Amino acid sequence: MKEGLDFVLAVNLVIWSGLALYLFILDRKIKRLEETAANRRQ
Amino acid sequence: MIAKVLVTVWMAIIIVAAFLYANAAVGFPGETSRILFFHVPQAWVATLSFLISMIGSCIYLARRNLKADNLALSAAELGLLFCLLATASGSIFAKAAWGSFWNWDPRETSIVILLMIYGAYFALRSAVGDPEKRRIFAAVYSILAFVTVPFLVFVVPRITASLHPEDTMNPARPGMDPKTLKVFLGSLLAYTGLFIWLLRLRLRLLNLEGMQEPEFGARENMDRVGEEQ
Repeated sequence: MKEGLDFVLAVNLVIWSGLALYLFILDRKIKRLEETAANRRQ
Repeated sequence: MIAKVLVTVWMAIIIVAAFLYANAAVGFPGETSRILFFHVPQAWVATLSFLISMIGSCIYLARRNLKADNLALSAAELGLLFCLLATASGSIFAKAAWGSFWNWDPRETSIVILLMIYGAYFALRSAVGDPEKRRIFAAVYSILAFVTVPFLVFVVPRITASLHPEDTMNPARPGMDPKTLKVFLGSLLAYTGLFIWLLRLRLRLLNLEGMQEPEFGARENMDRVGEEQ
C-alpha cells in the first residue's frame, strides 16, 4: 500500500463510523418521538 | 433495521475496497483517481434527489398531498447536501490534479449554477408565508428547476472543452479496470442506500413536525383572532 493511503482509509472509516452511529441514534430518537405522538393521539 | 445495518457494513466494505482492492487509474497523479468512488456517487445521488423532488412536486400539484410536498422538500434538501459534497470532493481532486481548488471548468461552473438554482428553491420556500401557496410555488419551481438538471449535469460539460476526466472514469467505456468497476458500482449502491436512509429519516421528522406544530398560516390566523378580541 502506498504511503499515507492507510491513514486516509482510517480517517474515512472513522468518519463513516461516526456518521452511521449518529444516524442510528437519530433513528432511535425519532422512533421515541413517534411513539410519544401516537400515545398522545390515543 | 437490517437494511440500515447492511448499508453501514456495505459502505465500510466499499471504503476499504476503494483503498485496498481497486487499482489507481493510470494517467492521474498519485492516488487521486480513487476519489471516483466517492465523488461520482455523490453527484449521482444529488441528481437522483432532484429527480425525486420533481416527482414529489408533480404528485403534490396533482393531488395536493402533504406527504408528496414533504417528499419533494426532503429530496431537495438531500440533493443540495450531496451536490455540496460532490463540489467539495471535486475541488479536492482539482487541487491535486490541476493545481487549484477552483478552475471555472464547465463542470464546476454548471454545478455552481445547479447549487444556486436549488438554493433559490429554499429561499422561495422561506419567503412565502401562506403554507398552501408556499407548497404550490415550491412544487412549480422544483419542476422547472429539474428541467435544467439534465442540461447542467450531462449536456453542458460535454459540449465544451473540459479539464474533467471522461474516458478513464466513464464506466460505460470498455477500458475501465474490472476491479475499479466493481468497487464503483458497489459505491453507487452504498450511496443510494445511504440516501434512502437519510430521506426516510427526514420524512419521519417532517411528519412529526406536521403533527406537533400548527402551520405558519394557522398561527397567523390565531394571532389575528387574538388581536380582534
